[in-house]
Order: sequence, then C-alpha cells, then structure tokens
Amino acid sequence: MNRPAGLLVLVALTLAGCSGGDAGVSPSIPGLGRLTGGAAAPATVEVEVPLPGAAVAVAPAPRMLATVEQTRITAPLRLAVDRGGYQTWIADDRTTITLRGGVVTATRGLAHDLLAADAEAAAQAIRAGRAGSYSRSYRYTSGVRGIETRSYSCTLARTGAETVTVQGRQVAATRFSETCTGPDGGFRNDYWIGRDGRLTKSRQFLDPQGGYLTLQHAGG
Amino acid sequence: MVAGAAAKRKAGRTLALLTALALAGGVAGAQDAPSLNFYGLPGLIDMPSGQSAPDGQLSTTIAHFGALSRITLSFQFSPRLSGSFRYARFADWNFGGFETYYDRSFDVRYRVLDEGRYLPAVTIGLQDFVGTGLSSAEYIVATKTFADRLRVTAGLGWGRLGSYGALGTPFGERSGDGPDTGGTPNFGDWFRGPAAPFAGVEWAVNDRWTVKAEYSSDAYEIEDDARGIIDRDSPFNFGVEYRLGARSRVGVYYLYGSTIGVAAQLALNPKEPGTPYRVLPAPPPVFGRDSAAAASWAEARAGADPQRRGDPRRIATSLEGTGIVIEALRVEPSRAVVHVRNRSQDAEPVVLGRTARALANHLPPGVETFVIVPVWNGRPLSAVTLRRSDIEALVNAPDGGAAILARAQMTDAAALAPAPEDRIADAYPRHAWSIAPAFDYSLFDPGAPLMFGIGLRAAGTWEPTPGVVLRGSVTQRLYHNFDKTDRTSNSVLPHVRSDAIEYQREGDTVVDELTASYYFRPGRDLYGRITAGYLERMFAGVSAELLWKPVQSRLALGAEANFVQQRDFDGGFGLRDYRVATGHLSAYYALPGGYHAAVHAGRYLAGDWGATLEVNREFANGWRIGAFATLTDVSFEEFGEGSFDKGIHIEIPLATLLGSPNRNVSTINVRPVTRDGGARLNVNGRLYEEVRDYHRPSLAAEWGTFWK
Repeated sequence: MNRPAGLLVLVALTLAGCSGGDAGVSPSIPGLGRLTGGAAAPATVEVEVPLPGAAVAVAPAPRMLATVEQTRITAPLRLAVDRGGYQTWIADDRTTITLRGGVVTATRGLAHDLLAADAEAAAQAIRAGRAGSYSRSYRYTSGVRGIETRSYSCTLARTGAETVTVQGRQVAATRFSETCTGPDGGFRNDYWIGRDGRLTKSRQFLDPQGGYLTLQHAGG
Repeated sequence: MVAGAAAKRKAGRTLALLTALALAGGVAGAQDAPSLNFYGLPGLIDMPSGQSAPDGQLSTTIAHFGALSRITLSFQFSPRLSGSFRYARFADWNFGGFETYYDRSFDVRYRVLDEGRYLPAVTIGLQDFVGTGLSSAEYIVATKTFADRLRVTAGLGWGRLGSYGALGTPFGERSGDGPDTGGTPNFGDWFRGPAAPFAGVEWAVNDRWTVKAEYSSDAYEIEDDARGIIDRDSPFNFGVEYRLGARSRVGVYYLYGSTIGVAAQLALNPKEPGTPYRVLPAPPPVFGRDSAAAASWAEARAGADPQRRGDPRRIATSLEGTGIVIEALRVEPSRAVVHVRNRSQDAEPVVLGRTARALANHLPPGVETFVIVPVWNGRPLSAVTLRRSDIEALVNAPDGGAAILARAQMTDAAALAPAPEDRIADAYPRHAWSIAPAFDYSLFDPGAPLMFGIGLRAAGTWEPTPGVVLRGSVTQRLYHNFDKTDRTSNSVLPHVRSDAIEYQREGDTVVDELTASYYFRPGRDLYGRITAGYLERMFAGVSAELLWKPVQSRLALGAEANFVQQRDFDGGFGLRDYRVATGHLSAYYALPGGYHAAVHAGRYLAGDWGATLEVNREFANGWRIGAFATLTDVSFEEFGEGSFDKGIHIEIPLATLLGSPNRNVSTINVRPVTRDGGARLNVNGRLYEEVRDYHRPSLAAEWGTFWK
C-alpha cells in the first residue's frame, strides 16, 4: 500500500496548475475527517434534513463512539436515521456507519469502506445471547469498480465475562466472539453484552486493509 | 493537465508517468508473479520461460549489458495472451550509417498449457515478429514449479534463439527476407531454420532474493562476430535478483562469460489499484418516507409546498462537493425528471446513486419514479429510471447493488430535452478554464531518441447555451530540445504527420485548439456533432459526426466527415496549402470481459483509403491498454520505414492514482515510426467514448460504485 513519495510528487506535478469556473471539484484529496485521520473536523456539520422545515426531535441524542484501529482516531456519531431495522450513525465529517442489531452492515467515508454486509444471522444470535453457526457475506467495491463479494462461515461463541470501558463508564459484560473463515482469509469479531442483555461494545472487522472498527454503543 | 468541464480530456502524455506508476507497485497478491528476463518477458535472464504474468499486468523492464540496452513494455492482455513493445540500443554499432543503432520490436506470447500438478506451463512466443527482424526468434518453452521455490525451464528456440547449439533444422530454411522497410510480420520465417534447446533454473531463496542460472541458445552472432560489441565466450548466464515491493525487482547478472549486466523490472496491475476508491464527501443516508422523520411530512403536505414542487436548491445543496450539477428539474405528482451534468465523477454510477439519494431525501412523498438524465455538452445521453421505493428499500440491503441494477431501466433520452420552465436559471452559460504545465515529446529519433518540451497551457471552454461549446487552448513553451535533430521527413506522401518535428521545433506560442462545436440529438439512438475551427495542432477545418448507439447495445456505428487544411508549423492562425477531405465509417463493439474492438474504414489525411483496427482491453476503473494498426492503399515502399501505421495505446485515469474522483485521463500512443500513411485527424469531443459511458454495458461494469 505504501506508494513511494515519488509517485505523489509526480501526481502533484501532473495536477499542478489551477482551474476555475465549471472545471469540477478540486482534484486534491479533500480534507479528511476525524474518523479517517487528518485534521479535526468542525465541531458540528449540518446533517441533511429531509424536508424544508422538518423538525427532527431535539431529545438528548444518543451517541456512539467509533474508533478506527488503523488510524487510532475516535469520533462520536449521532443517530441519523433508524429505518427498516438499520440504524445509520453519522459523524461530524459525514462519515456514516450503518448497523443492524449492532452489527456493522456498511460504512461510507472511511479510507476502506465496507459496501454492504449481511448481519441478520449474527444480530439474532447476539440478541439471543447464544452460540450459533451461520454464513455471512461482505461486499466491497472492487479495484475495477464491480461488486466483490467475500463469503465466510462464522461461529459465535461465549468467550468470557469482562469489565469494559464504554463511553467513560465501567460496564460488566459477557464477551461473545464471532470467528469467520472463508476463501479470502478470516477474522474475529468481539461483542460485549451488558447485564441488561444489550450490546455495549464491539470490535468488528471491515476489510483486510481497513482493519477493525471498535464501537462503544449508545445506551450501553 | 486540463481540468475539463465537458469531456474527459486526453491530456498529459508521458512515459515517465507510467514508469513512476510501475515503481509504485501494487498490493498483495503479486507474490506469484513470475520474474522477467532481459527482454521484459516472464523468464530467466536472456531466455524466456513458460509462465505468464498475472492477468492485466503492465510492466516496464530496463536491462543493460555490454553495449546492449533494452527497454520493454509488456501487457498481459488476457490470462494467456501477452504483447510487448521493445526499444533496444546497440552502442558502438558503426554500421549502415548508424554509430549507435536503435531497434524497435514487438513480441506476442500465448500460453497453451496451464501448469498442473504434473504438467508444466507451456508458452509459444514470437519475438520481434513485426520489426526489422534483428532480434527475431520463435520459441516453445515449458516451466514447472517445485515446492513453490524452485522453477525449472526448458525450451526450444528458432531464429536468434536457435543460433547456438542447434539440434537440426526441422521445418526448413529461414530466408531472413522481409520488406526493406521492415515492420511487417515475417510469417514465412516462423519456426524455420536451426532449432536449439535452452534451459535454466530459478530458485527463490526467500521472499526477497532469487538466484538464476541458464544455458542460452543465442549465439549473438551479429553482435559478437560482425559488430564486435559483445564478447560471447560461454552459453551460461547467472544472476541474483532482489524484490523491491510487491511487483518490482532489480538484478545483477554475469552474462556469456564476459559481461556484467543489470536489470530493473517494474510492474503494476490496473486490476489491483494501490489506493481504494472513495467518493467524498460521504453520501447522505436515505431518510426514507417511513423513517422517524416522517412525522414532519404531513406538515409539508399541508401547506409548505402547495405546488408540490421539489426545491432544486435543496437538492443541489445535497450534491455539493460531488461535481454533480442539476441542469433541469421537473416534478410531477408521481414522477420527477432531473437532468444532471457531471463535472468530476469518473465512475458514472456514482452520478446516478448520489442524484437518487438527493431526490429521495428532498422530493415530496408522492413522487415515486425518478428519471435521471445524464447530460453531456447540453444533450441527454440516456434516461435511467429508478423507483424511489427501491432506493429506500435497497440502500442497506446486502445485495443492494445488484438488486438496484436489476430494477433500473435504461432508455434512450432523445425526446427528454427539458422544457424551458424546468431549466435551472443559472445552468447556462457555463464556463471553465485552467492553467497547467504542458509536456510534449518526440521518441525514437535515431539521432536523439528522446526530445521534449515543457510549457504552460491555458485552456477554456464556454457553453453559451445547451449544445454549443466553444473551446480554446494556448501553450507557451518555456524549454525544448527539439533542435537536437536536423532530420527532415523523406516521405513521398503529403507530409500530414511526418513533419511533426517541424511543428514541435517552431511551436513556441501555439494555439493548440480553437473551435466551436454544436452537439445535437437528431433522433432516437442518434447523436450528432459539428465542429469548426483550429481542430488540432496540424489541421484546421470542419468536422461532422453522426453516431448510432442504442442504450442497451454493445454495438455502435458512426460516420465522420472532415474538410481540413494543414496548419502552419508555428502554431499561429496561418494555413499551408495542403487540403483534404477525410472521413470514416466506424463500427464499435464492446466485447464481454472489458475488451473493446473498433474498425474505422475510409479516407485518411494523406488521401489514402483503408481501414484501422483497434483492440483494447479496458478495466472498469478506466485503464485502457491496447494496440492499433492501419492498412491503406499506400504501398509499403511509399509508406517508408515501418511499412504501415501501427502502435500501442495506453490510457491512465488519474482517479486511480488519486483514489478520489477525477475525470482527467493521461493518454499515451506509442508508434514505432510516425509516417504519413493511415493517419487520422485528431478532433476533440468525439462522440462514442462519452456517449457509451451512460449506457448499460459501461454502467453495469462500474456498478459497484452506485451506492458510494
């Protein structure tokens, strides 16, 4: 993945110059947001509101903390939409993470995005708090822009009781580990379920290059 | 580089870019890519092997020993078929008027047998099969890998590779005859003459280091006996190679018992971009009419928007930063038609996906059907109809990408010109400008193999009204060394291209292009263009084009007619005396698997009649690598060196280097010789490549970006 600096210099030279009018967005890489490294994003960014004047309830918004392990950057996310069993959480830099029953199904705006994943079987087993075996598929935008599907056989098993830190609080939790193997390799996801039976923390695989995402779930 | 508003600009042209790319290497997965030999082919040191490079690999190999240097560009066109172009330098040649001799050659290789548990990989190769024949050879070679680390190769060679230790002459004598001008396939000589065996072993000590030894069947007869530029004392060669990154290697060798050699192998694979593709800013979630925010829909219905018109400004705001611009919006009770222009996204499904998200979040709930009409130069290219319910239901679905493609309808949009009242007020006039470095080069001159110039280019476009595009570009040169050669064209044809060096030498301040174009849709599945002005560096005049391309079709047919007059060398507005009517009928076909073929038949710039065949492999991320050849009624003798026009074509989209959207494309056409026969006009804004981008075969190939 590490391209020599020479290439960057070359690209910079090729793109040097300036343009205006209708000449498209700047070809330089836009400011990277908090979740993806780089400068801190502005404290607030207006989340798109569906309709003119649509008043989204101003209740104390639940908050989730997400950490991209690769960059060690942590950012808070707010719930943007909860629909059809999927919750889409949004960060200040508009990065989104979509969950189904706490299991990551998609990301947008990260350096290595997950296009879509099926989470129903995993979410059911986690919700029930019991071991299980099932198959899962992860989809990515391939290097040539098609859809690349990677299939895994997964087993979920209880792997111990631990106290974890979630959004500054110590929470007693039971850890469930989901071990997945497939033709493209394998990974392990960890889910910590609190005494109330709700998912409180998780560490989930995104992509061999993108690594793992740690989530401190809301209301955990 | 010109940041283009209206077209994917074929801008910078540089081999350096390619070399740097190769240096950049790729990602994991290249571990089993075979190492390359001094000819830039999978192989040992000077001998080839039976293996193929990974499908899609593009490599540059630079090798030097004694008085010989070779630089080879190779492309694995399909899993079995590969092609190479080589430029070789023979120093101290001192013969035939050449102090240093430069030779250009093409190779093809085809793997006839895959390596199995017991069977080796077997490849048949033709080396220098359309060059001057100096390096001509044919071979059949087998390679077997043992325990992942040891590779054993044995083969039989003819021609150059049959010149030492021959076993016999199985298929008759080799004539060595070809046209004096070179450049034609030497069919009659293939596998003729003495055949000699060669062999070698390659052992990967670890992931970084490889050692090689071979027995060469090349006697280097001309180089050793006749020219005395190589001392060939032994058939044995030895080498050590070190891997630098995933796809690049450097090596040191001891060749032919007398000479130390060095080589660098640089490779990349467009299928495995080093940078993941992402589109920023991240897309908004699809809120959906049934989501938590749905409570507020009632309000809107009650009175906020009595005409139930969506507000284009909100939709535009939602698309901010994506380069997608709304030109027109019509909102009916259950259907919305939106015309969008794409300024920056090189993956066209992104345009559809982002527009669909914006419409889903901002149109009144009754609107169920979205018709998205991509517009290029003011004219609709297709109409993609999506159901809003599908967008809402599939945005999070695991197979949402394939599912939305299956439900999307793609139809012709000739009848979908927007009504005046639906146009966004500030959509026209539009303009764009840029100032950027300009680079120009001349390759393969016998006296000065690389000459170049650098300068600054200012370019602009202005579109006063839909369909009308005024385009201009001026370059001021800052430095050049085109005066390193004093060669002049010896062509017996009108000098339509062979005076290129004169244009380069005299072009200090150049009007590259100054044109007015009109684009139109004459009917269903039809596209038209008329361009007039200073069309390209060497010609001015009028160009008219008509294209037939149904949205679902893999086939397109085109016709182009041009009346042009040659421009002055100095790049000003003056014209030379030569005038010609030139034009072609074209057929384009998108084969499955990303292979594209085109035939252009008609009259060329020198007044010659003939046809051009182009075959390219295109990766969905925009990389395009292929070859072209033109045969016309100009005889090989009249054509001169090279016998007929041919070359290789490479397009590199900058987006794949940046990992972010960008519509600029770097195009490299390498011709071994540029002469006057079979030369086509270069006019900007030709229809096919732009039109097909929004038609089903191209959209489907890149569909993995729809939800990005």
